[in-house]
Amino acid sequence: MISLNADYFDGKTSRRWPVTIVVSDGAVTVSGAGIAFDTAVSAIKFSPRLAGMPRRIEFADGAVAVTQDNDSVDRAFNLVGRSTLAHRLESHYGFIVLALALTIATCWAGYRYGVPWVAREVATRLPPNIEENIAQEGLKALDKLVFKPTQLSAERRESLTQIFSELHHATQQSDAVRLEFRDGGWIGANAFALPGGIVVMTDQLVALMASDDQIAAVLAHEMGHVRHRHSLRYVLQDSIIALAAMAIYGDASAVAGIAVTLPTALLHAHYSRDFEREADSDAFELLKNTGRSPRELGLALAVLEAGKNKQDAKSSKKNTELDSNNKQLTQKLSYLSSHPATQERIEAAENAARDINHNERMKF
Amino acid sequence: MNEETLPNATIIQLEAKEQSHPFKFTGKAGEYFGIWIVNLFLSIITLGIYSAWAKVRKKRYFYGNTWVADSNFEYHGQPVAILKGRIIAVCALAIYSAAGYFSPKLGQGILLILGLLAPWLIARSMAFNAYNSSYRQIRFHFKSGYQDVLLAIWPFILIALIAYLLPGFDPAQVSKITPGEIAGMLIPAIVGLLAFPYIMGAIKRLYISHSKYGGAPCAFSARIAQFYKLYIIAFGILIVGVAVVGLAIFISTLSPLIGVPAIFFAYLYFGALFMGYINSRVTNLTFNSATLADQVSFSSTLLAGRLARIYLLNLLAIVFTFGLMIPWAAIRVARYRAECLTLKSATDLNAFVSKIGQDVGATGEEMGEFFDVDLSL
Repeated sequence: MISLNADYFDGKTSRRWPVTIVVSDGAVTVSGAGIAFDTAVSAIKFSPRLAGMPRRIEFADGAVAVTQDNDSVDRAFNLVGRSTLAHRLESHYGFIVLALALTIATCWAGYRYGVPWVAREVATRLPPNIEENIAQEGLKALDKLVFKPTQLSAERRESLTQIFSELHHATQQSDAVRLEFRDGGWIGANAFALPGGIVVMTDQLVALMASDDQIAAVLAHEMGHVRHRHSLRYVLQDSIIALAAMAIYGDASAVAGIAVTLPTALLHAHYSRDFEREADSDAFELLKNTGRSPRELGLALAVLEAGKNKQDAKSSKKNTELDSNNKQLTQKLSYLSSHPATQERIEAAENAARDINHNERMKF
Repeated sequence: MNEETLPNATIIQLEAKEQSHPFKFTGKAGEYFGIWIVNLFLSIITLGIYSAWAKVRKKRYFYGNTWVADSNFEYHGQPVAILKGRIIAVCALAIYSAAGYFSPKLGQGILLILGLLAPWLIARSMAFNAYNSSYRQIRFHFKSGYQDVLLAIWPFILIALIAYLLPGFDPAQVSKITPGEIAGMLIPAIVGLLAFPYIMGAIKRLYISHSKYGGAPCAFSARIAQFYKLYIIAFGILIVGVAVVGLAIFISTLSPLIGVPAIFFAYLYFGALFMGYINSRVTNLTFNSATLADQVSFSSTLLAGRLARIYLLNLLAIVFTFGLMIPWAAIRVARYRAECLTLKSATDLNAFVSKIGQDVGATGEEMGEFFDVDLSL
């Protein structure tokens, strides 16, 4: 015989009746001031256990008795060891630690391999006309908001398109590609690969590069982006990460909006570095196959970086009252923040070039 | 009526009869962490299917740990009903996203259709939520017609309609941005900004004034103008915040060592202050304006600064532990909200009578949640 104290609610009024419940041999007696009845254990249902929360003993007529004495309920009604799987997992320290480790591992693996894999599979299966549509709309929007018509002469464009076709021929890819020239406006010297095989190069980039081989290196790099459908995969990965972050951080509702921006920005940067590396290694291959040195891409990157620094210096020249100490610090910091990634890529280009020399020497 | 015109004896008698019951939240971060991590893990490995069960366990934990007058609340939602709702919501989202890829106009059209369905969805969602909440084994109920909800959210539908009808940004037309296109982008944004306090106030009014505890009706006395006042001040905080962040960005061009941390802190500080202000004031206004059968009223005394500090510390804890402190953060907010809430009753709480209800499906609530329409108090 086990007895326990509970609050009884009849389900018809909000009145709280303190009662004592006595359980013995399958019979249940509920008694208290104004309440007295008997029932069978078989006619009772129990709310599943959830942490240390009060247990609800539900009677057939919709009444309920609520008690904090969870252990007595388990013993009185023979529920020991019969709690739901969810409760057993939630209250077992070993499983909590395991769930934590597995969740972290799954998130990491999903981020590192799962999301890129899904994005790649979707991107390669998307019908070409949809991709084409996205690219057309995107380019028109850029034309309207950023770009101006190109100032390059028809002959110059012709010769650069020639280089582009030659590179494309060397990739032995059947996908259609197209080179577009634009005045970059405030974007300045840059080149992009849009979905659908459209490569856009700005006049400023053409002007900045020291040789046509350097331009070819940039185009080879963009062709790597095209071949691996990077821009489409980038958008897809971005959407998947944003959805996942929302699902996980959703619990913290009010602060979620602010909290999500920072980690997703970091994840984002990582993916974009991977894509650049992939496009670079494609470009090295392509440059070798068309009789150019992979070093050209390293040179092109160095020139772009120098051009960017020159622009920064130009804009900070306005602040003439700035003491020179501060200015040096500014330059040092911007060098540190933007340089390692580019420096790494330039070194990779040098290494790729050295490998060729090495292989050629071996032939003799 | 002016208090001074009443005889003193009446006031004393009223005060003597009135009872105060403070709310109490008894959830513990350590305990909730176990529930949260198991929920998260099982949701991930079942590709989201378990999330319906996870939601029920989470809600049961938060309801069950909220106490007033020696009794706790209970959540009765069924996981399968929630799962069905989520499946429908995911399908609707997929159709909307796919349509947007093919043509922006088609996407806007589907958004307009969803907008017209929204009042029905919101009514269903509120009914589901109310019906599955109980206190002392008496359930809450919500009942409203399509037009009641429409009255509260019509500006949303108007915005969807404006976006659909105005020219919109069409890259294929002419090579420069036309005034029509600028109007197409700006007008919906401005209408949205102006209507936002109205919608927030009207939704709270709708939810409370159409709710019942058992058979006892709830009433809501706040005016929409009071919500406008709160949102205008919050908007002011936002403007100051943007200005300070802008200043920090400018400083960072001169001296990154001072400027970059300044951007970071200004962003977090004003973000937390804005959220702390608007959430505390709206919650206070909502609770302080709600009554139940003329017998029960509430007093919520959340402080904007205190809530902002809680948010700020939560935010830093979450970011620096990659989300592992989320359970701790959620418990802290729930505890502070309960701490500041008191129920005042003119009579004892034993006399409320239940009402026989019918089952309400979860679709409306789940669709509402997925499209991020926050309807909670």
